[in-house]
Amino acid sequence: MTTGPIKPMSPVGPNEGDPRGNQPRKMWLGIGIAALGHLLTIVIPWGAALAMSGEAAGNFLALALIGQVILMIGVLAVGITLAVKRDGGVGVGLLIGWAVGLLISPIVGFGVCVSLINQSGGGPFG
Amino acid sequence: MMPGSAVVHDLFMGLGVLAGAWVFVLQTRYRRRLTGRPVDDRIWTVVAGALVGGVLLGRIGTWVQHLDPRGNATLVEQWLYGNRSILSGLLGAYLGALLAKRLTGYRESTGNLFAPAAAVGMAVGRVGCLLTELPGTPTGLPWGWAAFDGVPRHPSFAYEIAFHAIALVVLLRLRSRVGDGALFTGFVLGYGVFRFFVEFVRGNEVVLAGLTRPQWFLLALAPLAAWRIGRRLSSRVREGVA
Repeated sequence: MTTGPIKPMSPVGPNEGDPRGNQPRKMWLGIGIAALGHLLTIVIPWGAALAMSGEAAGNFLALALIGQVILMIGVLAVGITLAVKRDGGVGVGLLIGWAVGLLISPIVGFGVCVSLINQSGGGPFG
Repeated sequence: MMPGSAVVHDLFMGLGVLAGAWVFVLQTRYRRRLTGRPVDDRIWTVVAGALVGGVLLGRIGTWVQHLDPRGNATLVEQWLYGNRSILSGLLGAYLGALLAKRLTGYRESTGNLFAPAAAVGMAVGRVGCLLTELPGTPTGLPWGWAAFDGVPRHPSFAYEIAFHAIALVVLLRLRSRVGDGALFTGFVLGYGVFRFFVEFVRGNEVVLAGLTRPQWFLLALAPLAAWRIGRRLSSRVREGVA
């Protein structure tokens, strides 16, 4: 068995310089869009719950859930399509941003629920 | 549960993800130093797949708890208020990473990058469980924890944090010595065995033959683990023959 000469390890990555490769700037753009989407699924239902009649916290939860479903379908469909097409990182950023946001958004949502319950003067935090 | 404990739980879960992400980035830099070339940028697609699979299955993985469908929560209830499961989250992350690699044609093994990050993330995340959940079955041992109901209980989440801390040290020591991917396989197998036994003091509901749901979940996955080990061993044998 013969072996060729040992080549020095290349300092260049397999996809470095590939315009379709994931670029940090585009990935952060995707993460930002997904984070904005999460923020909107909290801010819009919050405003709507305050404007609507009835139990504010319940209205907020229902509207936030609808927003989350829409965001999930949109982000997964667009994110996966772009990531598979290797768009440069926006799709991957969307997916990462959505997943991390899904872990963080309940904390913010809980705070909004508490504030709505407090405003209505009821519940254990009132 | 105290008011706000759900927030504490989710907060530590978020911190766990951040800590895991930080360790993952350090691992990519370590590999860069080791090999002399940067990690393929498609690794971020694999990370995205793992995160999406992890959060999805982590949320809905415990949905079907009863054979009688009327006993289960609706999907909406499960999504909003259901238990989050680390075991099904891990499975989801594994499947998500696998799918992402298939879709992008990424062939390199990535397990050695993920294993230390998973250990750190799970250790930090379990702090949230330790602070907010009933920790285990009653015990007379001196380290029994009576924080919630005055009854000294096994701090099973502390056991788990200790497991992940020890695993992290072992993983970091072995990372340059073992083949790619073997670290993650070893970590998941070790955690599976540990979790199976710690379930006996966790205090989860016993559903059949003295075993809890997580134990049955682990038993159901055992053939998959055996197949994975067999595949790895046979490929090593082939490499040895070649």
